[in-house]
Order: sequence, then structure tokens, then C-alpha cells
Amino acid sequence: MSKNVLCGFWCLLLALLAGANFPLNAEPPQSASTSWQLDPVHSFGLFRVQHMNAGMFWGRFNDVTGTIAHHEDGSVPPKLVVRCAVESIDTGSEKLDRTMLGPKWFNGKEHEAMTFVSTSGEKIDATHWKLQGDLTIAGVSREVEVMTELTGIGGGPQGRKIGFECTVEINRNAFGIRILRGAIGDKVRLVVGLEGDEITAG
Amino acid sequence: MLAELLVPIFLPGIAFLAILLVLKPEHRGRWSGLVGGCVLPLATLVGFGYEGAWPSSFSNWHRLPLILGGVGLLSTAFCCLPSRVRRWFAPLGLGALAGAFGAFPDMDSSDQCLLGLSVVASVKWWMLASEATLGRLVGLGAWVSCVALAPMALDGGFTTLMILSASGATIAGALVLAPQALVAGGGGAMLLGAMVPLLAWCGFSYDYAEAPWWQWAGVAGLPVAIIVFFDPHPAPEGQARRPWLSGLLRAVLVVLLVGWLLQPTLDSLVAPADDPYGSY
Repeated sequence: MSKNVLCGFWCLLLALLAGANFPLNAEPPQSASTSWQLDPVHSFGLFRVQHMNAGMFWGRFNDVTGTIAHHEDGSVPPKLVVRCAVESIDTGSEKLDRTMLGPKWFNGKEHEAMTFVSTSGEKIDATHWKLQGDLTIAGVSREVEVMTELTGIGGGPQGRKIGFECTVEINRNAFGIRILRGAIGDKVRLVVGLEGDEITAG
Repeated sequence: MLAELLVPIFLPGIAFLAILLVLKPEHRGRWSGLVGGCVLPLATLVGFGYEGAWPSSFSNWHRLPLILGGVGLLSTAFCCLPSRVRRWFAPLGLGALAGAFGAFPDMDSSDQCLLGLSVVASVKWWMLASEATLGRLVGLGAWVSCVALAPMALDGGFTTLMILSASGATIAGALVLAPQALVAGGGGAMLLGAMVPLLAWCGFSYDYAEAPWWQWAGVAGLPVAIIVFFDPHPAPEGQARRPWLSGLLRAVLVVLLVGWLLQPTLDSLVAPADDPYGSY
């Protein structure tokens, strides 16, 4: 008799737990991730490198595409997949553009794009993350840490938009770009401005 | 920075000339292909030395110095063959090597066949030219071609090919300077015959200045024009040499041809670098 009562009690408890969907291993509830398609017109990549040990030279990549997956409550680091078309380089000088596309620099004929795919991240505050991921330049991949700022979530009649700004400092030698080491600095700062359009079902 | 450019350009030519001069004159014709083929990879290695490390990944242009090294080895092997066999085996063998391994960007298998055929034609022509004309004129032709290819490579954004072309010019110059280095159908002629079209094909494949194919082909074919314009056959004994005016006219024609082929490149190179709106 007592065995049957005990068994019934456990069955009832399990049924109650199942019915209530009670979180046994309590994790805070997460918001759903929203996906965003990068808007190539309002996204760009900038690079900065020291020239002749003097001025800081800035160049730009105009064609930036990719996707963002973001939990709007900020509970999970954003997932960035960014592709920068190398041939969209714009230094303000066509001659310099051609040189930078050459095999000793970005090697545009063999490696059409630079890519960054985030793999993990660490939250700093409500709008800042330190994202880890793989950066590929001229066919060479290296793990980098990218400071990422959520600049805003807004939009207009055409839909919602999200903005991020990412900054990373790399050593170009690590990516096999070693030409003119005396004249062009080793450290390169990359600043990528991203604006994405929300991908809505249907 | 200047050393980074000048050392890889001049070191191969100087090393090549020094080795040729050390060799006995009768051995230079046989070994010039091998030595010349090895000093171009040396120029590439010197370039890597300035960068302080091996390349992080294999790039298709790395095939160029490797193929030229192979051309050097094969040319020496072909020099051991009887001249009748060598006349066809050498162009076909070097063309097959270039076609099989010369896979530069944007090239499919038909382009590689075309590259192989162009090397066959070029090597055959250079061997014939070295038999029919003065050897030094052949070297001079290659020198002009390599010198003309260098600014085209620079304009196309390929600084390393500019260095390799200039190195090729110093090698051609060394072949001109060392007596008996360019013998009829010898290794030097085979090397020059393979090197010039390979440099042009590689430059065309990586070119961001979008120079038309005929400009690259024309510059690679300049030696043909030079040898057609210059009649190097010495005047028969007892007869007067050709009037100097005729020679001058031919030289002017060659200079005009080079100028016409290079005009778009030179216009682009001398355009102000920092004026992004110059073309508007």
C-alpha cells in the first residue's frame, strides 16, 4: 500500500513539473535571436596604417556584405558574418588601389574577399562586446578579438535597422602582407561600420 | 626601401655574369640556361628575405620562378641532345612544362594550352634566331622586352613582377656581356624564349591596369621586331657595310614601336597619383 502511494506521489509530481514546464536547471529565459542582412550602401570597412613612419593613412572598402544574428536583450553576443570585397578598395588614388590589389598586398585576383566570422564573445556592458572570431585576409586566417559596439536599433517605414561598429588592430605580417616593412607600418587598425536590415519571415 | 627593390633586381644579373665569366667560354652556352634559370628564383628568395619570412600561403605567381628554375634544368638537359633532336624537343618540352604548371589567376585549361603553345613558338623562334643572327642581338631583344614589361607590371599593381622583369633584363644583359654565352640553339636562348612569354602571361593574369592582351603580347614579341628591323648579318668580305643611315632608321623604328606599345602605360604611370578626380 505505502509503495503504491509513494509511486503515485512521484508520478503526480513529474506530471505537474512536465505540465508547468518548470525549469529545473534554471537558466534565465532568452529572447529569440533576430537576423539582419547587411545593407551594403550603409556598411563599410576602413583601414588605417602608418606611412613612412609619419602620417596615418586611411583607406576604405566600399562593398561590405554579410549577416548579423542578435538577441535584442543582449544576453548573447551578436553573431557577425562579414564579407569585404577586396576589389572595392578605395584609397582615393586609382594607382594606389591597383597596387594594393596586387599579389603582395590583398592579392585580389586570388582572394576576392576578406571575411570575419565571430565564434564567441564576452559582454562588456549593455552595448559593447569583445567578440572572438576568425579574420581571413589574403587567404590567411587568424583568430582576432574585435571590439564591437551596438550603435543602435532603429528604422523607418521600410523596416527595422540595426547598427554595429567594430574595431580591431592587427599585425599585417601575421596575414602574410610583409612588403615594404620599413615604409608601411606593421599595425593596421580596421574599423567596420555595419548597418543591417531585419530579415522578416515571408 | 630602395635596397628592397634594387638588390633583387641587380643581384641575379651580377651573380649570373660572375658565374658565366668564371666558366670556360666553351661551356657557357651549355650552362647559361641552368644558371640563368636558377638566379631568377634567387631574386624571389632575396625578396622573401627582405620580408623576413616565407610566404604564409602559396600564391599562383610563385609558380613563375619555379617554372623558370625548371626551364633552366631542362635547357641544360636538352643541350646534351644532338642538335637535330634538340631543335624540336626543346621547344616542345619547355612548352609542356610552362603549359602544365603555368596556372595563373583567371586562366582555364585552354589558356594554359595557349601559354604552352606560346612558349613552344617563342623558344623555337629564339633558337632559330640565335642560329641565324648574332647572339648578342638576341640578348638585346630580350633585354628590351623585359625592360618594357617592368613598367607594365608596375602599372598593373604587380610590384614583384616588375622586379622579376627587371631581373630578367639584367640576365639578358649578362648574356649579352659574357662572350659565347648565347650560342646558337643553346641554353641561354631557350631560357630567354621561355622567360619572356611567361613574364607576359603572368603580368596579364594579375593586371589591374587592364592593359589589352595585344599590348602584353606585343611587348613579349618585341624581340621579333628588333631582329626583323636589325639585319645583323655581317657584310660579305670585301663589300662596304650597310650605310649608317639605314641602321639609324631601323633603330628609330624600334624605339617608335616600343613607345607606341608602352604609351598607355607610361601615360598612366606619370599621371598624378593623388588626384582621384583627374579623369573627370
